Amino acid sequence: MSEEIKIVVIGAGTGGNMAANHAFKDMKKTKKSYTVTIIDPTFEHVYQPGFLFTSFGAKTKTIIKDSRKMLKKGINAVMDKVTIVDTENKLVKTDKSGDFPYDYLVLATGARMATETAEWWNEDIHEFYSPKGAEKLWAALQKFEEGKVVVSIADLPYKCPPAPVEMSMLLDDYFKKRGIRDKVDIIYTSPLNRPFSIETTSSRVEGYLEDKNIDVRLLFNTDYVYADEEEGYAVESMEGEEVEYDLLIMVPPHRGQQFIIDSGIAKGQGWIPTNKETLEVNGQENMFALGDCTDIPTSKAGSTAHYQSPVVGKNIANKVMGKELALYDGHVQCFFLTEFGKSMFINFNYKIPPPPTPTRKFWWLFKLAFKPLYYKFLVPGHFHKTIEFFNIKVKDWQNKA
Amino acid sequence: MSYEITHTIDARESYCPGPLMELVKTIKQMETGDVVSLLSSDEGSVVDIPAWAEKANHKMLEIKEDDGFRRFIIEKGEKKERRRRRRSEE
Repeated sequence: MSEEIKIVVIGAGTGGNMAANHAFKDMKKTKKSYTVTIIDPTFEHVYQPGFLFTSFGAKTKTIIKDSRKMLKKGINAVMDKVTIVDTENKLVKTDKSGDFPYDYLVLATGARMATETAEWWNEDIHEFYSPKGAEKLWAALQKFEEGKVVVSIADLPYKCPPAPVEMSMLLDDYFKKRGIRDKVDIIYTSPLNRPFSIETTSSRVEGYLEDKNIDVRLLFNTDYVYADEEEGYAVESMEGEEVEYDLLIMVPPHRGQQFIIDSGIAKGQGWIPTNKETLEVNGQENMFALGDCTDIPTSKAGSTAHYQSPVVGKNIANKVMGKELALYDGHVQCFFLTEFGKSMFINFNYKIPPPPTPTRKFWWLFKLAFKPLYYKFLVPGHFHKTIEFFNIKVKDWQNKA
Repeated sequence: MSYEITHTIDARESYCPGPLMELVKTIKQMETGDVVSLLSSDEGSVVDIPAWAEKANHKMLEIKEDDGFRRFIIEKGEKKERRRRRRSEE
């Protein structure tokens, strides 16, 4: 290993930005000379929970910021596309900026929307997983007067498991406000035999969906979409059922990045095989992964990346100092919108599921307040200890009860 | 019971998205006749997994109790026919 320890982070979303900031801070403890370099093709940091708002008319510019402004001073930011990781020689190769040797590599490469993997995908299918998709959906919703709106999921896994359920419930609220709810059928298809994956939360969600008269089709995994005059307009499941639609909102297929597969780090869909506790990449030396790009069986969500990032920062420093590695406990927390003005809050880890808490105005207000906190303090790592002090810990509510 | 396991999923301590989502994801990439072993510590799996396997035309070969988790062995069945395929054959 060279005298100056080189840490390279690929990707400047929530996980990459936060991991770079944590590593930069934690490496000071090693008292060694080091550099932290972060590489991203755009440095456009999209606050993805905001898509549920831009789909209903909020401005896209309010959810995109320059992530370089959220990096600690001293971190090198390189705007370029990574073409390959040469794991043998420990080099990150870029399109135009040359090669970056590393001693420690952090992969925060996210999930890409891979509509090309679904032979049936067409431009009339709406999605709310990209700035343009959410804007296009908003334009379509304003013109929609009556008929069937179907919210479905193209493939597994996908980011933010509550998002399609939230979308269904917000659609109910939106059409009610327009006074046309009685002319619109809302149908939500769930891949599971309950509307939401976590049973404790799903028990609440079932009641809300029923109250809102949302038609839920269970054990429905999308296999094909018909979209022409002859065949009609319908989604068909691999379980052999069909639902017809006038407006289709589909969670698009997700995949890992192609250069990760080309580099021999991942296979198949491109999810990086990662130790779910230490966050080390399996079979690779001094390489960590966090956020949406991993194959860890937990939510692909900003919150997951948030709670993984200090573990990555600590573990790079711990490896340098020859100390025992810190462990990620699976902590995830998220808001779960049930209408414009109310939200549930779910907080869990690998061992403890979330309690079945009801929807509240308080959590909605907290959700609104979270975005400025996210940009100003959370991602840049300002007042980190204060934020951690106020952090809502996962309580073992089952044993306590 | 004799079978050769071709795929394995360790979904223990997975609440979200959970064992069934992990299973659906994996089965989509398998060939008919392949066998997957799924480990789950989620109590709901004992209902979820056989229900989905039956509806999606897969064969539930075995459910084994282990120390704090269950092992589900499932064989991928023939894919249900699509309407478009049925029509073209008519």
